[in-house]
Amino acid sequence: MIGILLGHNLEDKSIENIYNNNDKGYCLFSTGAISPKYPVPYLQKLRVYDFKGTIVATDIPTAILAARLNLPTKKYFYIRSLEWVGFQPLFYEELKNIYLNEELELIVSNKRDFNLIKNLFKEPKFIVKDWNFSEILK
Amino acid sequence: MKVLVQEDTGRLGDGIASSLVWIDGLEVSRWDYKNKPIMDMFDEMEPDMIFISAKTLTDPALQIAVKRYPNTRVISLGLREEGMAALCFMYIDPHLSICRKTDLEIPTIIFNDGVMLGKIGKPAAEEDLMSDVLCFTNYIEGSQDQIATLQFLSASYNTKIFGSVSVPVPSYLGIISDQIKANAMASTKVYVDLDGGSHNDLLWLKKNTVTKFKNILDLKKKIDKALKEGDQDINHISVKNKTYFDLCSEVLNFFGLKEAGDNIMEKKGQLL
Repeated sequence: MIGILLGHNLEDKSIENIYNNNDKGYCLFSTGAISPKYPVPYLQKLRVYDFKGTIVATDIPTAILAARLNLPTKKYFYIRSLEWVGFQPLFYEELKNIYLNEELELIVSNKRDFNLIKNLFKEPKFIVKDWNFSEILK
Repeated sequence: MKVLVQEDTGRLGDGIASSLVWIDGLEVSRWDYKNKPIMDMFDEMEPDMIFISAKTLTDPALQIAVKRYPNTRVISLGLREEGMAALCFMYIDPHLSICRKTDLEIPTIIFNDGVMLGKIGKPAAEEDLMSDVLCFTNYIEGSQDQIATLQFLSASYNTKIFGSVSVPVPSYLGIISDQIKANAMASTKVYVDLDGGSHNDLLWLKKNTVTKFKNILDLKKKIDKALKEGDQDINHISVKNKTYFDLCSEVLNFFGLKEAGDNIMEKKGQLL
């Protein structure tokens, strides 16, 4: 079972990709409202504390949360954008606690980010395009 | 002995302050000139020695403070503007000037930047900080040209950029402590200096540096060459006697503080 931990603001395109590219073995956790167009399994974010499968964080705040969870068997951070670019003031120690966190394995969405993240932090485990997580469950 | 070093005096002020703190029995404080009045700082600290920007010499409050505390030795940092004394009736002459050119009117120590040894210490390479190219933004303005250069480096090499000036480049990883900064220096292959002085720190660690380049193509050629060469002892030798410890020793000796001057050179010996 894979748990996808989403931020509050949900993009329809992301939900559509999750719906189209994943089988039934997944569940979304978020505080946001999901469009009824996509009948995806969904739970409030609070329920993630009881989740025991593989958890995937999708932005910095959810990565911080995922790193603190005790129950998941595996924890991933799916990096879809370089969130730190342009942020100020930026502190390396804070970035390090997320992107070099020993609890979290990294996943990127394209080859270019793979090389960048590998050089800046650590080598991502997977390249996952369009939210298709079937690879990481193998 | 109490020493006051004005903030916002670039690498010169930072280098001096970070060196003086290594001397036993010296109390070194930084002074935020913009937010703290001169007189308050003198009353609170009663400094024996003050390092100030040459521009601050024209501040009338400084003359009043120096009159009230006549034993305070005033050292100006940077070049004084010509004719400053004639133009400003409240101008005070410092006891010593530290700048890049000889000042004919006052005793001068010529210093064209050097190794900020006090902030480097004895660093160790770290896997997390490994890079082919390293840049620091602490003393740059963040101009369009500089950002374009950093974008090129970010896109073309395994680059890490740190520092207090934020730049919109993926390889910019934010502000770091002095210890991590020193370790990042020890973990890189080539340093690209955009501020004109920080390359000295990397030369101390035997690293190859690129300081001047005509254009991006020229920069690429120089980096590629430096990457092939690897660390070189000659780099260290070239700055061995060009450190802020040497500068501070010279300043202290100028004021007859031989013991303190010897003390800092002893500390330098321990870091060699």
